[in-house]
Amino acid sequence: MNGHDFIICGTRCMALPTGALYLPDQHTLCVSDLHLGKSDRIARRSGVMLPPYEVQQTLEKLQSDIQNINPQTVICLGDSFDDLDAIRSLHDDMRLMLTRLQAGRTWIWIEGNHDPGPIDLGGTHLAQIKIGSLTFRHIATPEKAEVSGHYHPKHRVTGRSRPAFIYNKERLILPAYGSYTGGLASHASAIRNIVGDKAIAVLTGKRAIAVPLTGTRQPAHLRDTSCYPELASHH
Amino acid sequence: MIFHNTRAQAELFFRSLWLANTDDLPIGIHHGSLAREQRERVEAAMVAGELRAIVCTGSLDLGIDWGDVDLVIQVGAPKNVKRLVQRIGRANHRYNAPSKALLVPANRFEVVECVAALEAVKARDLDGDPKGPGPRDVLCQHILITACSGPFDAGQLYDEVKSVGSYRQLSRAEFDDCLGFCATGGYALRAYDKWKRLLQNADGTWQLRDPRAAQRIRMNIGTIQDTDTLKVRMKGNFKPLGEVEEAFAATLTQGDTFLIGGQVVRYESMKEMTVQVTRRGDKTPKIATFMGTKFANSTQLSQRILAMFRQENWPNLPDHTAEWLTLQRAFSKLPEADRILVETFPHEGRHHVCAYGFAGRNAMQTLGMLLTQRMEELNLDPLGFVANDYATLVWGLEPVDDPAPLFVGSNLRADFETWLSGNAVMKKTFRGAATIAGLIERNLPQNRKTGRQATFSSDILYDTLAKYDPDHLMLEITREEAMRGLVDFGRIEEMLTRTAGKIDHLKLDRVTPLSLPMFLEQGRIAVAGAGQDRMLEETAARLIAEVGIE
Repeated sequence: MNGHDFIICGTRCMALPTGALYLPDQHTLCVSDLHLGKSDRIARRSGVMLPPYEVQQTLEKLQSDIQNINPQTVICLGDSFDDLDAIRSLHDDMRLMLTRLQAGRTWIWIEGNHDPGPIDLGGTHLAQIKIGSLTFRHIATPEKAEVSGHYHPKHRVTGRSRPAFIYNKERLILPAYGSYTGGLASHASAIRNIVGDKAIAVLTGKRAIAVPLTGTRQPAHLRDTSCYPELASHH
Repeated sequence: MIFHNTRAQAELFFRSLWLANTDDLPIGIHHGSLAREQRERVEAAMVAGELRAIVCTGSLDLGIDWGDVDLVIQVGAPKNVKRLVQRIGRANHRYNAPSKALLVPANRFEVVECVAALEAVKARDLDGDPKGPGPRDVLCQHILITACSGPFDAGQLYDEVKSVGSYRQLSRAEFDDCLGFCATGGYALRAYDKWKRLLQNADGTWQLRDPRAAQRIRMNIGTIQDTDTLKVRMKGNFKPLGEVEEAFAATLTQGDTFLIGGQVVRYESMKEMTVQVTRRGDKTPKIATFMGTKFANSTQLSQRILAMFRQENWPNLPDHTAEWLTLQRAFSKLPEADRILVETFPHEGRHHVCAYGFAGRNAMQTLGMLLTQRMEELNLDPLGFVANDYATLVWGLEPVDDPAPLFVGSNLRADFETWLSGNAVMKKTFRGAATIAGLIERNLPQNRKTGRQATFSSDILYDTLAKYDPDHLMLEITREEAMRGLVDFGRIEEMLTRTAGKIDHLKLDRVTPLSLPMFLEQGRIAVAGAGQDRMLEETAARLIAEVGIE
């Protein structure tokens, strides 16, 4: 599975390399910020027509995670849709795909700032939910024992930055799971204010790789090591 | 006039010149990243004859006559003979007086190149690249912009476009594909029938669905691709000093210093997507990383250089360069035109492969991509490579004992096909083509937000399109552009034909004289493969250990 295991407030967690979170004891899979229908919203608003395949791409990734793990519960942690109109213009094939994913398990849509609801796609629509010792909501609050999304954190160790989980002892921020999503650099104050300095970033990619959040923004000490091992430059 | 090939080099040179200018002579700097007002001021001063020297880049290659120029100095290799002649011609721009110029090569390779270029000038042997057919991303932009000024007839527009030389061969089907792309996105999945950009009227003419889109389209006019840049301003002063690349700005923390417009400034803060700086003369600057354009040197120059390598000795070269070549001949060997020289040697804990193909920077870069891909398959864990006009240097975690199979023409061609679909050069080319064609919008200052929820990378669009709509027009254009631009596979073919599979492999115990300049090349490219993952995991483990987390 190549996941990264950790514990927050007594609840066992596993950060998957895809950007999904798995709670093994609760058989729960959680993904955040799918932003389905983003290309539709952009076309509607600006006339720019991006490749309209991001819904399929994101759902195929989710399908693969669900098949591998077979969770009893799936939580979509808000901003699952880029806006409510995007839900209405969802292609029939994609609706069918979603329905198939939902079949036989509990499906929870947590509301986000992009999709305050209602969502007529099956599943339960909630502002927040408590699973194990943890509260799942879209935007972080000062409350402890919390899992949130919203910020699309990214973190860079060497090479390009990658979407990353950011956690400390009491809280966790999930990376954006959707294809067409940008990101916020992990050193941004919006993220630091939530998790503080003593936090861990788990990079997504082929494998989930954990690094301390501080001290890795500008790895100058890495660049100084023999020859040029990091090849960090972007050009 | 002191010409440089890159902006960064011009900045550094100007800084040094300024420090040496104890007599306070009026001197100026001019390059594409400086604020327009500043450039115009320098141009005016120059025309008025007020400047004693101007440090510049290709931004002054063409255009108006700059008046009385006594001497042109070219720093670095000229890369092609025509440009050299053009730059030299800037001096003493009068029909009856000879032009004077001084060439200042920056390393020994460049010495050889400068001499070869001068010999070509003397032989009146000017190079030139044939122009290909008109690019279709530009046509897409033209169609959109035409629509901005009102309804148009497709047939008329097609006829008009065909009247342009480079679009003479354009077929109606190709034109219609571009029109289709502008209207609906041209996707196999017809998702945008509701949100078409262009609509066809009852009389057959085409127009914008939403006339308000005209402004956005016009904001994206242009075909010159620049990296995303941020304006730099002195704190409390509205006038911009110039621009730096966004990626460079992201590495700055308060107190860092860098060079812009010839002065050292201190980074203070980022305000509304502007880099705020204060004056700071007493610190060594970090250097602004302007990418600039990198031209490949011409085939003709490469051939001249290879011919020079055949000489028994080099009375036409300065001693240090002649010695360098003699040393290379004794220690390893000099590359020959009809075979590829491959050197392998260890250096600072990495295994290196240096291949001398003399196919120009872009093609040598492509060769680097192909070699590292094959090495990846052979579990040689390549970490990265760098290319210049003559050679490609690859380094990795495992030694390459037999490089010959890496260079087999049929393998390279087959690899090229598979490689082309998923590589960084294609993604870079795609970004350019997609921006020009109006698929993605330029990062205009007003739609850029401060770091938060930045636009997602165009790489994602490329991957999505390649996976779900591989025949899409935009991928076709990308391929076409990459082939003649950054990929330059034509010159790899030329190299393969010229060398016909003959490889000289020399296994050495240290860096060779000829490969040395490669270690100073800018623009190293990391290989995103097993080697990097291995390093990333090692780094992560070390960082975790350092912080003392369980």
